[in-house]
Amino acid sequence: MYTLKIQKLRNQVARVDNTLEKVNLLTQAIRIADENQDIEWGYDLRLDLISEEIDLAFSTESLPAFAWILQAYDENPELFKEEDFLWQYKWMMSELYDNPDVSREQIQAALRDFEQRLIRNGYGKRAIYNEELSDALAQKDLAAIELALKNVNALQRDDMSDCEACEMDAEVAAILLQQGYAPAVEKALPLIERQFTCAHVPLRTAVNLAYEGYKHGDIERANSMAELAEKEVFKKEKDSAILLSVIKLATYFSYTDLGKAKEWIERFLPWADGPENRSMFQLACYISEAMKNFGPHESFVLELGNQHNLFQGKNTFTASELAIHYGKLADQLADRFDLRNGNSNFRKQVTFA
Amino acid sequence: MQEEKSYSFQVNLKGMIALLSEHLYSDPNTFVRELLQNGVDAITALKHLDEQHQGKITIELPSAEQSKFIFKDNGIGLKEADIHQFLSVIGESSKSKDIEDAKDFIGKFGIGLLSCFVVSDEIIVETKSALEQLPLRWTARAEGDYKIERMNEDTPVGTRVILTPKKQYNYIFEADYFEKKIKFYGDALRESIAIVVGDTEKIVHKEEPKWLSSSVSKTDLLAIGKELFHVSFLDAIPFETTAGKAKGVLYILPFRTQFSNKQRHRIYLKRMFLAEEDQSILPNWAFFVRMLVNTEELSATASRESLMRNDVLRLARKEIAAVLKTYLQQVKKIDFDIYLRIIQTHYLHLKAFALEDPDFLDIFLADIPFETNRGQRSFQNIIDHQQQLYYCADFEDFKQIDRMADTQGMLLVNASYTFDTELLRKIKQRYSEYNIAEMSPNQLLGTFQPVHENEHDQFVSFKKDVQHILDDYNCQLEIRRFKPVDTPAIFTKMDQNNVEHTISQLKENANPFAQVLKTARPNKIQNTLCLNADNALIITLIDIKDTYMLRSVVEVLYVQALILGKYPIQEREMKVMNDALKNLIVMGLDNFVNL
Repeated sequence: MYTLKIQKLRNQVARVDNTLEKVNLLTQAIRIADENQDIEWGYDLRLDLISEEIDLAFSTESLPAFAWILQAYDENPELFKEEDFLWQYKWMMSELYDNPDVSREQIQAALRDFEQRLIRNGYGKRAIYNEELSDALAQKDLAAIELALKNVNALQRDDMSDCEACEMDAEVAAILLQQGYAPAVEKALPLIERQFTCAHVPLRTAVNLAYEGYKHGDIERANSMAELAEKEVFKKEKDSAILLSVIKLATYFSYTDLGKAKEWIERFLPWADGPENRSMFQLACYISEAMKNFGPHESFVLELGNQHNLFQGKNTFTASELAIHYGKLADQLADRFDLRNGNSNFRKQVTFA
Repeated sequence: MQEEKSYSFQVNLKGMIALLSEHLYSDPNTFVRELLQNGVDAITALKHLDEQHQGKITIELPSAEQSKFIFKDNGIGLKEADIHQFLSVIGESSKSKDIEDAKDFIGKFGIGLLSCFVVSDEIIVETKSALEQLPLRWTARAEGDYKIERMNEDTPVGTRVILTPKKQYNYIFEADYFEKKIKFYGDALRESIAIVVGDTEKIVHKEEPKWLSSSVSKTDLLAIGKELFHVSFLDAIPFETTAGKAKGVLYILPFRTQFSNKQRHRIYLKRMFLAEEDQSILPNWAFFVRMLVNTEELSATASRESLMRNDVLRLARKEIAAVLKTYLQQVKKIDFDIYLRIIQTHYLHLKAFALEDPDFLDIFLADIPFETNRGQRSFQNIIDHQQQLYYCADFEDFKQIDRMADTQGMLLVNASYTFDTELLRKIKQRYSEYNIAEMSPNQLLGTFQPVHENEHDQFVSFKKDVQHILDDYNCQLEIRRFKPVDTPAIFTKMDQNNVEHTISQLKENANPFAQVLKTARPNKIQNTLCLNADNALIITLIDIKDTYMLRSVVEVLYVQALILGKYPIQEREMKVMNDALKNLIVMGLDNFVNL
């Protein structure tokens, strides 16, 4: 019986703690469900798959899986509950923003679709404005940030809004850009004191403040924020979703402790084996910046998988090789995102890095 | 404007004590550990003054004659100022002091003592300091008050903690139960420990354990491991670290473990038992190891139930990882039998380790086992058998072609297991001398011999007719020669990864996401039916000119190939098969009638 096979695979998923392996097992189970045209198993397994992949630095399976779930629901509304996947919808909106090949029109169409589904399930539009704010922050677009923040704050929080920790962290990032370092530090205090925490906070906040603290000459706070960030990394050492934060922290270390920066880059850069998206752009900017602090011949030992964009069948790279590779990658991605967005917001970030 | 007055918060001491004592510690037995820790620290402090001092802890349990519990040490004792500062000010612990203070036992005394309030409403500490020689009694009640008095009677230097057990915790103070707890927490201590009940004194611990002494045989270590963990381990590896001054034994488990299982260890801090479930000092790939360890310089969390995760811990973990790695590198030369048993039992963990560490991959490469279409084989065995190593990353693919590969004389690895595909890719990348290639049904098809150019003409019209039939099934036709010759046809699905597979099921305008995916990569399934030009049925089929009959036979072959390839047969395929067979029967009867 194929359902028994699916159940066995699902049990295996529960037993392993390697997320990649969980994803692998779930995709095997999805194959079996699809071959047997079992839409209900296909639906549940794909929801599981998306929930697992969110813990990885990059996802490859989630977007098609989510499109399939939407199609399955729309064709069989009596079988499933729309509310089951609204939270996943938020994640998938980020995936669309992340992909430079997805046009603004396609993003807008998805936002409209999301809005309809939110409203008919009794939620407000705050979740949509959360997405717009995070896009504006990624673009460092001050006007868009102001508008999105205003929209977010005009509405009550509901169960589809970003968690309080994430919302506050987004506000800290916004204030950093709008008002500068000192007010951002003040805003971040509740997060630093761990009054609000989640999977990403306070790690993300601490890393940002360490980096910005150094740039603003507040060395003491930068050090304490880096210490806090390190402690948070300890707790999540195997969780590749922390990739961007740890690479930014490594960039901070490249100013304060080159040995540590090198150790962190060697340890975490091999995780950056995902598609060319917003995170990869930011990562490329940070690595380019960090490499400026090393001598050009400094060598890095990187054990890369063959899916990695740096993979060349060798494991030793010089700082100058890394700087060239990631510099080019940041350049190319900036062009692609700016073409999609019809502005030069990403190019400006490359210039500053 | 009136002058502003400032006020101090009022603290409900009783509530505070209850909170601290009952909620800081998750187990009512914790006071045993805390009292032992205080006693041992006091003895250690006195040893700094007198190296020859023989430490002893005596525990008097409640009995018919007396209802008190008395915990006595012959350590350095407390001065009056110490009592005021550390026993009577909650929050005045070593944590707020500098590092030197953290090493001082007195600073830790207070907070640990609070755990006694879980089992007793009153704590009496009678003490005489070796430095002050003044016998003092401190009496504290859970309500939040305390008093200090000078004792009239003289006492020896040291400290006595006297508790009045709460009724609900009487069981803890029974001799058998308490002895077990003392052994559980204190079996690594240097100090002698005696339990007194009535007039009887029993020494329950008198010397430090063998595993902490400088020379101890492997046989002894294995016996200790068996006694502690009730497991006959494969091997025992003694180790010491510089960071955190950890000393202990790593035991290799004799059975397979799940990755998600947390092993239970015995972790001691300054010889006092600390935790069983804390994994943080072991590298995260060491699921196959149980550990017995004492650390002199790592720190514990406030509740003393696990180690503090800090840089020193990380360094100690690195050193332990290096020890384990060196052991695994050397055991092959030292004891090949154990090496083989480790591989057979823990290959999954070793594969994970080999993926992370290239040096380790070098050592284990030859012996890493893989599942193949001819049973489990080591990497070396596979490479010895054929120059090229073929593997299927997908189990469904493996199932479809394992038999076919076998008949072609091909050894095929099922790499759908955890880490296998990634590991083979890593091996391919690291060792250019090995030819390693992924194999799929379509690729296997590509290795079959095509029909000779001279024969093409005889197949032209046949191919055209059969392709026309197969178009109805999104299938393309191939004609090749392959073994076994009694297999007329094989079906292979188009190589699709999971993403393509899901996208192929989406309708273009179903939703905004489907639209994005469909416009990005148009997708059409094209499967293959490969007919065997050496098969007698196919040779006969080429000569059939009756298109009606040809369709029926091709449809039967198509469904038969699906079954052979272990693809699921749906209603549509069953109908095709039944209709085709019915047509063949009707045609056979017609021929019979027309004879």
